Amino acid sequence: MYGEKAIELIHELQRAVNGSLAPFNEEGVRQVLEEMKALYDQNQCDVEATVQGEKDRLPAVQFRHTCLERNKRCLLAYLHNRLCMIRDMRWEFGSVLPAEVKYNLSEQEVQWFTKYNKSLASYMRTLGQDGLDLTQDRSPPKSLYVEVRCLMDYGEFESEDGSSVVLKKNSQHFLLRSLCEPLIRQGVLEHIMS
Amino acid sequence: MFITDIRTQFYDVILHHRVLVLVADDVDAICACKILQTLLQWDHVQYTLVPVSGKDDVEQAFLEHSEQLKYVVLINCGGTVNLLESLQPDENVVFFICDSHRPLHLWNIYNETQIKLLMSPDDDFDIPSYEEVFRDDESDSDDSGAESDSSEPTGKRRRYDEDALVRKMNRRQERRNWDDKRSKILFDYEEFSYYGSSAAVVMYNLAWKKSKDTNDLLWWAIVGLTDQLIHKKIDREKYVSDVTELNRHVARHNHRGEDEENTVSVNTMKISFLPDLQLVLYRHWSIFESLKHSSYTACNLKLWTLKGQKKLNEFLADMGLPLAQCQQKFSAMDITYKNSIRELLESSARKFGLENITLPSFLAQYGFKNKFCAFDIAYAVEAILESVDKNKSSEERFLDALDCLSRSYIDKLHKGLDASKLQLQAVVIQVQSLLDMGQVVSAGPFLYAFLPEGTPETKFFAHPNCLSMLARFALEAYVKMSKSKKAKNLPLVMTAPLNSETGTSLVIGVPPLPELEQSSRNFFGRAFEQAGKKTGSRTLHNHFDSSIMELKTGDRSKFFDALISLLS
Amino acid sequence: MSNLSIEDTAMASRLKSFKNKGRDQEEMRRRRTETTVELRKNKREETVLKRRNVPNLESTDSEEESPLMNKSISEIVVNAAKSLEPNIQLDAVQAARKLLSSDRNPPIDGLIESGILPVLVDCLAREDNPSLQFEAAWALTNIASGTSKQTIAVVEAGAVPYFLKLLGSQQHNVAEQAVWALGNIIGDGPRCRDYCIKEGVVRPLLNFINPTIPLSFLRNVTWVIVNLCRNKDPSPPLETIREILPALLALIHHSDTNILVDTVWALSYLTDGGNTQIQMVIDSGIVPTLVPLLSSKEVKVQTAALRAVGNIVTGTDEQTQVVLDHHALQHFPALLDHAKDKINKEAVWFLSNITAGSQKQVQEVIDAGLIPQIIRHLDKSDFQTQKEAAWAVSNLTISGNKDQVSVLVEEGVVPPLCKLLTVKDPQVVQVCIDGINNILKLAGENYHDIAVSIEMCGGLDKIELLQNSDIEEIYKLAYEIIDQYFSEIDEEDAALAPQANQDGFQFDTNTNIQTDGFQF
Repeated sequence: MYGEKAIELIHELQRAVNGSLAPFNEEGVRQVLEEMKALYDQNQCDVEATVQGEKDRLPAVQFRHTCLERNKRCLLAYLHNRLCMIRDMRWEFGSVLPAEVKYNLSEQEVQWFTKYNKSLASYMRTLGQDGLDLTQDRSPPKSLYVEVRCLMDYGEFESEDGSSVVLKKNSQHFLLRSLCEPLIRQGVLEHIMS
Repeated sequence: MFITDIRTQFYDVILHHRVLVLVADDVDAICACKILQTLLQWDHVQYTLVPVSGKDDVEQAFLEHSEQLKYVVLINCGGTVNLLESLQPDENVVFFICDSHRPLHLWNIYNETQIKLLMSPDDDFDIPSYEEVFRDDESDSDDSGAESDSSEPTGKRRRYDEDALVRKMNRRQERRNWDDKRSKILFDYEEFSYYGSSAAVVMYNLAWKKSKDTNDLLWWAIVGLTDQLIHKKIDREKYVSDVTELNRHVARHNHRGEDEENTVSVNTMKISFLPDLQLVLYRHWSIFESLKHSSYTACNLKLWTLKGQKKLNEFLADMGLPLAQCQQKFSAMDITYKNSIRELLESSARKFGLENITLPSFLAQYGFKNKFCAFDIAYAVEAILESVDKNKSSEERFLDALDCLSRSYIDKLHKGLDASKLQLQAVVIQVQSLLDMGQVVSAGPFLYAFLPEGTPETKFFAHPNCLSMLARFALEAYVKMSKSKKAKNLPLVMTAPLNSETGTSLVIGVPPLPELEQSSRNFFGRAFEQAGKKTGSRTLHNHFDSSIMELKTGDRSKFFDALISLLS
Repeated sequence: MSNLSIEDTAMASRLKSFKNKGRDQEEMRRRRTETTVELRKNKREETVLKRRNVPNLESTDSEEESPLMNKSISEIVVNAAKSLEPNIQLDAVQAARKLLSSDRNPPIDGLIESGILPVLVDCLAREDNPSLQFEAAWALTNIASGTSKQTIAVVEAGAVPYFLKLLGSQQHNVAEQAVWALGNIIGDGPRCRDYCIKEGVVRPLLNFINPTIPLSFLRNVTWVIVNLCRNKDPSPPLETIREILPALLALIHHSDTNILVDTVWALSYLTDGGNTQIQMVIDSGIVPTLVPLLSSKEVKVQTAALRAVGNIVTGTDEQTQVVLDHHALQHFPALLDHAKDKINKEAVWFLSNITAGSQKQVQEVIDAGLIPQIIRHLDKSDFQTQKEAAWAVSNLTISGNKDQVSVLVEEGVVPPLCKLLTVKDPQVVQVCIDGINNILKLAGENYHDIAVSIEMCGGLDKIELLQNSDIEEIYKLAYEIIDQYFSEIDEEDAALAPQANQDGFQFDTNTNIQTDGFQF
């Protein structure tokens, strides 16, 4: 009561630091809304009573009002932050969300995601001649080639020109960035600065 | 064959292809590798880098990675073995070898198509001429079965007339003479193993020829050269002459910034030449510790004896250095002492038999905090390369060592310095123990010492570079201690437990102490091979330096017996 | 093999009960295979040198082609036919001979094409002019020393009957030259050999062997005898062999090394022709003198002797036993340690055929203390020698009893045997994995220690990989070995291990776990 549930939602957000989204806490949100309703109703009672002439209800009303504001703020923060994270995921993962992530979104969030997708896509289509995919190469690549170290035995890896590289644990290579990026993201290769 | 123009005949050839780079596990190789890597990165040449610690690794790496690769670069490995025979590559694969090990295998020198040597032939002593070692003419046809080499009688025989017979006899005799001469030439050529120029310096010269040399690359070349001196792979004379060469480059790169108007940022790398003290890691330690752990001072002052300790105190007193100051961390020493430390030492050194206490070297500085002498870096990199951390595989150690040479990983470098101190301490403790317990024994033609298992120092010496430091330190200490004149000319063989599970030991042979600091040539490579063959001992001659080998500890006594009789 | 002992029958049935076995010892013995020498190595050396581009200094080989030469050849042929002008004829024939006996490339084909052969054969018949006969014989000898085509041309010119006649010549040099010529013809191949035998070369040839004969002559005769023994498909006629053996028996006692070497080679060819011939050699009583030659100071003698006795022990058990009874094994410690790789290899090959024999014979090898050396060669040696050692060991695991095989294990056979599992030669792999399987089988219930040592030396990993081999026998064996000896460790825990299904492991929910806190 009195904002405790709301704080729990915020705690949840805090815990989801790694970019992993916790499941949408329907229950928590619902409880906060119920609390708000309860507070509002109580306030209504008290306001009516004050209008009727009772004097000492004002602090209580003030208090409940503050609580209401607090709850509202927390809820909004919860929803807003989740949406921000979902938006970032679009840039990170692409237009298709991995199943585990989707599982954790509420229906409205999913709808929002689809809409965001659509607007982003239509915007990107207007750029350049055939459209430009902004979500690739978000930071300007400093070099065409990168130095990478292999973290595990991956085996042979074919590049576009047909030549193959043997990726064995602890070997170090200097290869095309575009070739290595997916492997870096998968954790097979590690980028080495020199 | 020896390449004459490293730029057009090596670099331009690999410029648009992917290369395989195999690097040996010594500091010089790592420095050379870093220089080459940088050059290749600047030119966007794709490469694959594989660390190798023995001939087996070279074969394995080649097998695994050689699909579709036409060019292979070998750094500090592959020069002394018949590479084409052991790797059996396709006919279009070309090997570029930058190896400081000598003597180079004659097949590598005389192959015109597939083997290219990046080093200059000036390093090599007496390479036999082509005609002395190879014969192009067809061998004489066999006749009269009794004389021919194969013992089976031939089905048909021709009868020759007198003149022809005489000619044949002469040819045969001439061939036999040639064969005998050849055997002798080969024996002499392959008898001793030694070292040529640093691989890192060769790579730096490549960079210079391409006008792409920078202070960073120069610094790595300096470290590589320094490593050669630390392990006495080259003698002082060669070191000094190479240093003079490098100093020209240092001067060229570092004369800016002196004048007021053209100063460079404090964060750029600056190298300066300086005659430095032969005190290991003294800037990162205390003077006292450094004196104790440098083989030059420790052996000349005999610091493991009570007399020696007293002499040390006298030495310090003579210099006017209070003991308390000497035992403090160098950076915390009084500024007056710190700045004049070299002059103080030099002035008193002569009296105590330490004339050669200074050595020309270089100092690198970037930023306010980072001031390193070339020796420091060389020791640190080696300590990382041979780290006793059980969790690190040899490739991981190699990659760590590679990292700590770059400026973005300063913390690794500091870890290396700490590790190096531990290494040096282990060395000194071990030497002390060997001398106290009389475990350095003369076998007649050589001295030997078997390191015991189970001491806390043992794990350091399961690595070849560290063991080599220990062996040389121990030899020097023993010779200085010994009253016998003969001991001065004796070499030392040392064994250290390598792997208790498989019951193997690492064996190293070091040549006798050099006279007047001339480089000594090491004959143990051949001796080890022969002793092993004679006794059927289970040996592994896998190292690029033939004076280091692995042996099953159980076969040690018979191996040594054979070695003694071989060398008497 | 009518008197099989109980042991033998039991073993025979045990052998037959092995999967894919059922061969008896005779099948297991291996004739010497013509191993192709590792040409690749030599070829590489050649290619290095060839690219050196040193100009060819010896350009005097083109004499054959020069028109000057052709002119002189036709002149010679014409003059050689002038039987009515003896001096001119002799000069011409001598000139032809000189062309053929120089150390430069002789113009054999040029001479043949110009028709010299009938001319020379006619000269052979000239009893009135021994010098002419001699020069002609010499010239024909050298023509017959060339290619098979050239030799057969000599035969087809009808030279052989004349040569046979010349064997009876009063002039020793003429007779010797005829011997030499016949030697070249006989050495061409089985057809020429058998032809000469039919024409009656053997008796007169052997008759030359007497105490008064000059040494060089005797050497020539011996060499021709070698050629008579040479070549298979078909082997020389048994009658001829019967005639020759007494001569060899005499010659083997000769003091001259060249004669001794050739004699022993002759024996090695004879013993290469199957069990009947082996028996004839044994029956001739030559083995007692042959075996000690294994320790001759002359390496050439050792090489030949080793080949000869090696061929003998590819025969039956009894034939093998003859060799063993003459203390052959005594010579082997030195042979296995010999400086020459080839001798090591043939020595191990010899032993591999002994370990394929009866258990008694296996025991003789063990008692002679040869197992450690064999294992040493298995571990580290020339690859061809390692191959033979693998056979030797593997054969022992088939022929030997449990105790004998355990000697192998004690002497440390397992690690080197496992090491060879990764070589490229599939036959070697098969032999090794077979041996490992047999070792495990024979250990019976006590196979654990062996299994552990296989695992520790990395053999288990290799066997696992071999389950993917292309070769049926290999992958079957690999699978069998793993299944029978290396999967028990997993079986024990199978009952406890959780069952895996699609979503993860299902842990057994029946176990008693307190659900409301633990009571301490």
